[in-house]
Amino acid sequence: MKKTLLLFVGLMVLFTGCQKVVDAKELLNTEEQIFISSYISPQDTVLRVNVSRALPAIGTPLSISDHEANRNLFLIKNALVSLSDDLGNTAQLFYSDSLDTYLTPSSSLEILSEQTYFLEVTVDAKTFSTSCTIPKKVETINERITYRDDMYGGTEAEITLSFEDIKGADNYYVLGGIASNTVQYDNFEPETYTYPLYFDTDEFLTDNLEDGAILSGTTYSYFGTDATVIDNSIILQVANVEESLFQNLRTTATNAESEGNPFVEYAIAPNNFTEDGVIGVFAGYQITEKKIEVEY
Amino acid sequence: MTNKNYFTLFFLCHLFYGFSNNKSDSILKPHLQATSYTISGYITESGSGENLLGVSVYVPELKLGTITNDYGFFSLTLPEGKHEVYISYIGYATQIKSIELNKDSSWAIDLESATESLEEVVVTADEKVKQSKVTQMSTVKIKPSIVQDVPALLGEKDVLKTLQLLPGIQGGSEGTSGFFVRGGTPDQNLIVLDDAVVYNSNHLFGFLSVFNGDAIKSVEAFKGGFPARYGGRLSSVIKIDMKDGNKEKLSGKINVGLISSSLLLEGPINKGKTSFIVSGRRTYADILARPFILSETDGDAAGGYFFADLNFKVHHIFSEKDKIYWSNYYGKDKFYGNDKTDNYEDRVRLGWGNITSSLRWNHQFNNKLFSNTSLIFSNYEFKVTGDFKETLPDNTIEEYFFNTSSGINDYSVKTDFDYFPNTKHRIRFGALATQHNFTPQRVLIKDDYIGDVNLKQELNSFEGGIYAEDDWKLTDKLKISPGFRLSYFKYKDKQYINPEPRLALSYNVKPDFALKASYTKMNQYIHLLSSSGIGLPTDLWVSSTDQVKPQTSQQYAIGLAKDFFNSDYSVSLEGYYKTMDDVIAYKEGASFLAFEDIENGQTITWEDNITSGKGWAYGAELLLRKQTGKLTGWLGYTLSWSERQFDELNLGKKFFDRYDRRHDISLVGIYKPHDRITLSATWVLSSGNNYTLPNLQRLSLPDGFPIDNYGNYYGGTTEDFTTQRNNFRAETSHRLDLGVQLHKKLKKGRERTWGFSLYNSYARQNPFIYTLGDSYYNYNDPNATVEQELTKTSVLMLIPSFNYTFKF
Repeated sequence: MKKTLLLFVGLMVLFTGCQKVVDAKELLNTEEQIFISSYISPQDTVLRVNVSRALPAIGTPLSISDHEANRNLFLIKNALVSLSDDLGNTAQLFYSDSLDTYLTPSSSLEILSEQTYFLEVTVDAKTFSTSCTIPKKVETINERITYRDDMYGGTEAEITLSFEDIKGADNYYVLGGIASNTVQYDNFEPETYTYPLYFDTDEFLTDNLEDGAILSGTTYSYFGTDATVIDNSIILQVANVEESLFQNLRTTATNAESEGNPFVEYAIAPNNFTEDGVIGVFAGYQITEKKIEVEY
Repeated sequence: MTNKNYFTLFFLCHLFYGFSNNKSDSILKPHLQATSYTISGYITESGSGENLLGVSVYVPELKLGTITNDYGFFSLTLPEGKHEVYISYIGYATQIKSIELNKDSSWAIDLESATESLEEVVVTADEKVKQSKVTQMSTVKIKPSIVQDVPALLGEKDVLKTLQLLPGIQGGSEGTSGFFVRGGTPDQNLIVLDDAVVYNSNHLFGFLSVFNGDAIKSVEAFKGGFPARYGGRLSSVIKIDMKDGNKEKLSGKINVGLISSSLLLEGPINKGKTSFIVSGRRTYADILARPFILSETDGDAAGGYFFADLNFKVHHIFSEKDKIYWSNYYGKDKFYGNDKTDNYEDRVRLGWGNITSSLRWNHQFNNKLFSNTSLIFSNYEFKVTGDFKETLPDNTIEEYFFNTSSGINDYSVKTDFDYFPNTKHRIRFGALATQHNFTPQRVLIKDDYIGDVNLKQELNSFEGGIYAEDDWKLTDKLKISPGFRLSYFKYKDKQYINPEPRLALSYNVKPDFALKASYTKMNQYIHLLSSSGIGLPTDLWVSSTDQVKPQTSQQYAIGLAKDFFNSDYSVSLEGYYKTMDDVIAYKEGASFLAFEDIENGQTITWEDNITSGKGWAYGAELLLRKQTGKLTGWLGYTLSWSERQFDELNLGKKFFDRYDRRHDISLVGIYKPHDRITLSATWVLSSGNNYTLPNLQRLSLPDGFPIDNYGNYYGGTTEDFTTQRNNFRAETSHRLDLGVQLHKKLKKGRERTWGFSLYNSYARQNPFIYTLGDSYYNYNDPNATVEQELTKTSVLMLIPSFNYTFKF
């Protein structure tokens, strides 16, 4: 069917149409910008700021084989990056060649709930700055697990995570999880498999319908039967994030999921910098995690 | 009482003040206080008995007149005495009747077509329906003959594409028939065919409309200043009336074109009493494409596409006072494909179409009161079926079948009254009730592997409205048209009741020059979820619910209309400002073209996929028109802006709508030097549409966020992103279409016409879509680079066509 449809459309274009590469610069703003992203939290062990270039999506030649050269087109290694709080405490971040980002241990600047922090980045003598405020942390996560046999002879666990919205503010939540299975096959050493759990449409939640409501999301995990299960645990995660971080994660996810679908509108990347020539997100979050053992 | 209620009360009082104040009005001319009598009756076309709507019945000496209603009925109250009554209609010979009026009189007038009139007749445009003489503004009428005369894509005469040539009515992408009126969206256009709503007006994925023009009597488009008798949409009303059928003799028309052929047959069933008209059309695209598909797939695949239309109408006259009309439309688009290999075969069908049926009863109570009551059914359905069969290596057979559909059924009853109390008032009032049955999604899956799925989403709602309006001639110079509509909508326990005041006024600075203004408030209770905006069949009609509010709009318009009586030119200039609330759009990333979900049987909650916001549209329209003579046509220019703001789109910031187009120009010329040839040309220019394209790319670096996300997953690669919705404006489009028709009169009133047309005659490469893709590179060259390119796809360049028409 798809082949026939494509052929039909192809024939139509062949007989009546043509294609032509056009100069996008005349139709689209494609000026290079500085791209900055940084998410900070009291739970971090290291503070991180990514500073790179955002290059025109159209008309930027990239090598087909030299990926290092491509990365160097984007990376900015000589920026001056600092984080500070409203008490005047400041921490400098330094470029890490191994991780391609600017880092400092979290001990260099204490990150506290509901406090405001400032980011300042200087690139080529231009300084860009913005701020963020750390939201409150979700206190308690509850879970309900329902087990059922799956079609492959294994077990499917339907895991519903719930928590109470933090009252008195507009909150934005991101849900996730990490499953960890340690199994041993006959005549082999035990092996541990770790993989993320996805909450699909429940991954991004807000409290826009009701302040203080119980919010929940559902994910699934599967367990096989052809090995001895030694340990089966799941870490459930709820992050209360600032709106710009919520938008950034959701935009990236949305665009990735709908890539190639011409009927889906592109989601717009957020920006909480105000200067010209820069785009990005500096935002705070707090994560709550709960480890649970799963029956098998 | 709120301000809104005071406003409503003001309009009601105003309206009823007008009803009750006829006799004591001090501005009445002395002659109206004398004994007066009423002339009433019907005006029909000579030779066919077809009722003519919008015919001017005018007494120049008294500057009094009226026009026939949609069923050819008129009523004109005049003082006793001698009068000369001019009955005129564009394209018909004007009749002048001298009368000695001393009693009520009933007329049955046949107007003769100007081209067939044997006498030397005066061919004038209608005095009464000159733009400077009517209160109504923001309205354009198109005669079907114009649709037949202007050059058309592939020779397919198309009502909606002809309308797109008028200012304020903008087409979508190149060649498509979807249209946008004054910054609105396609779902904000109410398209009614003989009182029945047509939900999907497109064939061939939007390239052609369902109205081919053969069976159509008149087309009228309202862009603003909506009379109270219309409601339910924000941006326009397109009123299309089918012919009633020739009551005198059997006649017909055969048209053979490049991609379709059509046949029209009309005639009396009972001469003078009952008539019928039937018109059908079918394309041959599937037949033409079949050999190519078979050769390209070595005979393994077959498939094709066609569309077909059928219009059928019966008109019966019970008596002079009672008539019925039964109108029906059936239209279908179908795409089908079969694939077959040694161990696999599939059979897929994709079809969509409308069915409408309306039964209307005209009753004339007396010479001043006329009514029409209609029972109406309207249906639209989109359906995809797939049947898949695979033979596995162990010879077991796996079968999978799915059937998914969506649609809407409407059942309506409607009654409209036309009351002509005196020459100063024409009052219309009525009511409408519609039961909507929506099926946003119906899924039936039979699968040997995962089991069967049978899901159906249904939404049932009720929509009603009552209205009253008056066309009130306050003085010779000042006319106003106050109106009021009260609309009602119910979905489950949720009810919406909304007053919709309307007001239009016209002030004649000079007899041929009028200043006009209007205000309208509209509500729209049903919505179209459209991923593309170009009228794809997958677009989904849904109801307002407790979560999804009705869309509302307010439109203010001012303008001027100038007629040049001696040269038959007219010019109108209008400015408008429209606000729209609770308009809907897909959330970013949402689409209803998720066939994967359909095949998995997962239901999509459409309410979760949409978001509501605000809209603003404003602009100016100029129309210079010449409607009579050997050369007719018009020049239209639109300057417009259309903006939107949604909390959940574009980070809550205001943005220009996709079809925000700054300039639209259309120049249409039809030249008929004599009755054997028609030459026509249209030239159009439009600013480009807006699209959202990624303008930047960034390196995906791990962000340290502890929950797995796409940034981490794709770490190290580049990722496109965009910083503004509709950040890209396409190139300006323009094209010239040319047409020539050669007519030959044959014996017994038959006529043969050869038509030739050239669409986009200078082969302008207008943008149809833009896509991003990688540039060409040599895979074997380690130093090769690749970059993304923007590619413009253009279609429909230099498309010649011909068609042959035979009338008998």
